[in-house]
Amino acid sequence: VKHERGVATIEMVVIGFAIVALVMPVLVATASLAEAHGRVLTVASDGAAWFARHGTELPSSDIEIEVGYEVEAGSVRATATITVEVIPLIGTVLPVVITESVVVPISPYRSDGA
Amino acid sequence: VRDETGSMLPLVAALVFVGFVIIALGVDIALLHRGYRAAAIVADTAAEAGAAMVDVAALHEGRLELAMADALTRATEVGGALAPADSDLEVEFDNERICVRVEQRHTTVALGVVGVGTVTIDVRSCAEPRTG
Repeated sequence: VKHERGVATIEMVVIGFAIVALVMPVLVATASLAEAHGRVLTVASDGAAWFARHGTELPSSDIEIEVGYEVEAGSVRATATITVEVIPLIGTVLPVVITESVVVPISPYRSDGA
Repeated sequence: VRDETGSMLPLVAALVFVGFVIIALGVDIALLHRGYRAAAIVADTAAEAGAAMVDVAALHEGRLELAMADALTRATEVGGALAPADSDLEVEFDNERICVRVEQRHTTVALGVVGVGTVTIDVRSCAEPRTG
């Protein structure tokens, strides 16, 4: 029937758009969480390694990330925390707190500042 | 006119499956990336801890060398303490540097559906003593 020509194409476009609209926010949220995890882990790792070598806190290079240090039994534990806002669905914002800890043994030759 | 009832259903099912696979791939790549970073931190920390064990007697003679037995022990101890339980740790060294290899099996969250159940994370990091 002539007047139905192209209906399937329109249906495919609409469904395709709907799938993309569902998939994209999840992918963007995943990417932003992965990026935030990476930043936090790097800051915690750098901070712990610095503290283990020098006995002082590493000056903060990322103001969005809070870092805490704890010395325990010959090791230093650096804990970094960040709050990121992810958009799981269009129009909604969900704050997510990401925390990572890194433990590094204190260097036997550290310049003791602590 | 043919009856076209249900003709879009397979297409919708296929598109939903493709969407699911894309999400699964994204989530698993992110988790895999995190696993690599964590393994790299373990390898770096263990290698650096091992490289801090210098031969003091040789140092007094002006040579900067690793105290091999201490370096091996220290790197193994630190790596063993930090590495997850299901990972393998291998320490290699020569007079100049110490290398730590961390191998870990990462179980995928969603990609098992398409046949990718586990991925091996293999990270190697080396460190050597330096003055300064």
